[in-house]
Amino acid sequence: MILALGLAACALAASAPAQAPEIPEAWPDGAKGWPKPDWMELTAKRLDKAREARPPGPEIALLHAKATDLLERARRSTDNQFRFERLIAAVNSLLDAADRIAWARKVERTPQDKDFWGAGFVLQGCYFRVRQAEYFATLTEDNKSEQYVTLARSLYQQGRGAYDAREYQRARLLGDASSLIVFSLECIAQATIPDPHIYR
Amino acid sequence: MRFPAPVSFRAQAFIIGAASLAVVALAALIVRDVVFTTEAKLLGDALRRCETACRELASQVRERAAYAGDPLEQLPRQALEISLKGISSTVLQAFPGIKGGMYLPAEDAVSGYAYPTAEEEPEARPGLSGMETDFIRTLAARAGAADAMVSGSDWENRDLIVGAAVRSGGMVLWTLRRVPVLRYPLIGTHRWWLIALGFSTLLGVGGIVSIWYRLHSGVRSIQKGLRRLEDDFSFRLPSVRGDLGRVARDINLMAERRMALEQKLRQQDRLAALGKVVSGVAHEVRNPLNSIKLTLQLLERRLKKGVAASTEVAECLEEIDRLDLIVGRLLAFGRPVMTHRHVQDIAPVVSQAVKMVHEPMQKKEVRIDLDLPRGELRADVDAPQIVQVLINLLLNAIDASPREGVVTVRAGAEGGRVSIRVADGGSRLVLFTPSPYDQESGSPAPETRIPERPRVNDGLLACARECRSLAEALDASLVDMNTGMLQVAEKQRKVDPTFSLNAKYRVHPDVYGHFVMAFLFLKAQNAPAVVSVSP
Repeated sequence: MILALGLAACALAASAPAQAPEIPEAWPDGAKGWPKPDWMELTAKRLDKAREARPPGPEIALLHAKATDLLERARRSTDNQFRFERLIAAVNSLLDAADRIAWARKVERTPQDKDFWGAGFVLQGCYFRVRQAEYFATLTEDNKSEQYVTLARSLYQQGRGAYDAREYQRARLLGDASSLIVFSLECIAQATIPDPHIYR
Repeated sequence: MRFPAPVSFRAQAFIIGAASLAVVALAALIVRDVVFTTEAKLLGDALRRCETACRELASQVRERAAYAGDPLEQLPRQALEISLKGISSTVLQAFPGIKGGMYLPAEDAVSGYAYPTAEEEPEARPGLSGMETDFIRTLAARAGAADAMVSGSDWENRDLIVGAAVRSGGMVLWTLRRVPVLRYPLIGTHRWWLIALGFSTLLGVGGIVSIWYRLHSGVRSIQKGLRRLEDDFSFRLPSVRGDLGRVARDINLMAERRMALEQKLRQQDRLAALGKVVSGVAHEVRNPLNSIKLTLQLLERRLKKGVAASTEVAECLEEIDRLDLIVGRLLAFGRPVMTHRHVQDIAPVVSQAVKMVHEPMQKKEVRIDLDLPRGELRADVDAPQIVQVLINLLLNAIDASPREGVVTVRAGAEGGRVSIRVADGGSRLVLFTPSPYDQESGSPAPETRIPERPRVNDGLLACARECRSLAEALDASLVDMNTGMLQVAEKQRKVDPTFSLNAKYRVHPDVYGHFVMAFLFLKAQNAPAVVSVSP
């Protein structure tokens, strides 16, 4: 699901012109084809590929490091299907966030006339998601989970700065990155459930 | 002086009662209006807040789904609650007092959250009552059917429960706000003040009714007293406190003045009557004086002739006694009444009167049976006058009683008044036939009488007959002086035809007597010898 989501984001980024962007469609339903039996392998390949790209910036490096740790935890949790899936989803979400940060760095920083990207709406939701991250961080068993919250808040603020500078595409990408980190944190919190007795 | 328009006591009571009820009803209406207005405002405010919070919850869920791609309702229950609790913690923080959560129709499960979260404030767990859970189920059913936001409210005891729900995928998001003690907020929060207010209102209405009743009864008492005062000047209104007491005191003062004025007027009337009596009595006094004068002239001539007789002197003394009696009566009539009236015990008064008649009582060997009450028997009387009255009554009773008889004196209270009864065992009525003193002397022979002109003898005989018949009818004693004395006179006249029981110079109201009387009267008045000459 997350992989498909990331691919869709990449396709969207590739097709989006700088000056005449299209309004993005809703994110594809990640539940389609979920779960895939080989997604551990796919996720590992995606992580390796991202590392090899070596995008600049400490945020991306932090996200790759966190993704590596989570993937290792997922590998050790193959006996618990739910936990395994949640951790894989968290890794892919972090990689999606890293892609959006790298993409935001590449976007031309020119003021735009209109918010074709819906950056304002995304940032509004991002504000609440960042606040939810504080709650999710309390549930994780990671004593460094505050780093997720700090990074998400930082990206949200960068997105607001870009919005104020009328760099709406960049603002949208940063906001998405922030929300994806929060989702990753949510997945990590859900992975702490020892034995989910109901599974749909 | 001008009085306000008269209003009856019943009308006053009605007005006062209606005004009191109107005040109470107005206060109740105001309180009810305030309560209902507050309730409506709070209800509307709570509904708006619940709908806004619910809308925000749904928005956050959609926002989360945009990045997750996994529908929340497909997650395990624990994971779902983690996600939704995170969302709720941000949304409900902006809506204090509002609970929020989700309802899973497939499991008929209700989960609820509130801010602060249970982790921050353990005691702030959003416990849902059974009523609230049912209310959420109802709202969720409506939201599922309508596929739109629905809201509603319900009561649980005195609390108002307001909620909103909206369908989000396979679950229903809901928010709920409980407004405590809204149905009877005054009763709930100011119960003792309300009880005190109600008690004060009842006390006030009771006071008004009491004042009205006291005023009504007081005025009725004064009316009764005034009616009694019309017949009994000695009656006084009872002394009470307050305004009516002042009115009663003024009425009593007025009655005192009226009684004093009445006595003064009686005295004046008595003096005026006395003047009339004196002029009338002058004639009565002059007769004995003339008689004395004539007797003294006769005595003077007899003394000159050397023939003195004691009968003339006795006649003079008799006439002088008669004069004394007349003058005494006049003095008694003109004497002003000395009032020593005050409230006192009756028993000493009666006892004093009984002591005063001790001597005649012993003479006739009459016994007085005195029946007095054990306690005090108080009455507003003039003791000397009552004693005099009782003495007269007792003397009459003793006189009327046979020897060794019993006179009963009984005092007691009857119908709010004091009564003293004097009863004797003798005859209650003694009738005297007319004296033949005026009857038998100088009467012309029956053959010389003119039938159509009745004479005084005819009247006296008729009166004697009437007395006899009355004595028989009334069972009264009769002293028949007429028959016996006529028999004596008739017997003596057989010996001496000129015999008469009457005194020599007695003037008789007969044809001749009238002339003699006129002569003596004119002579006493120093009238001229000739007063008229017939033509």
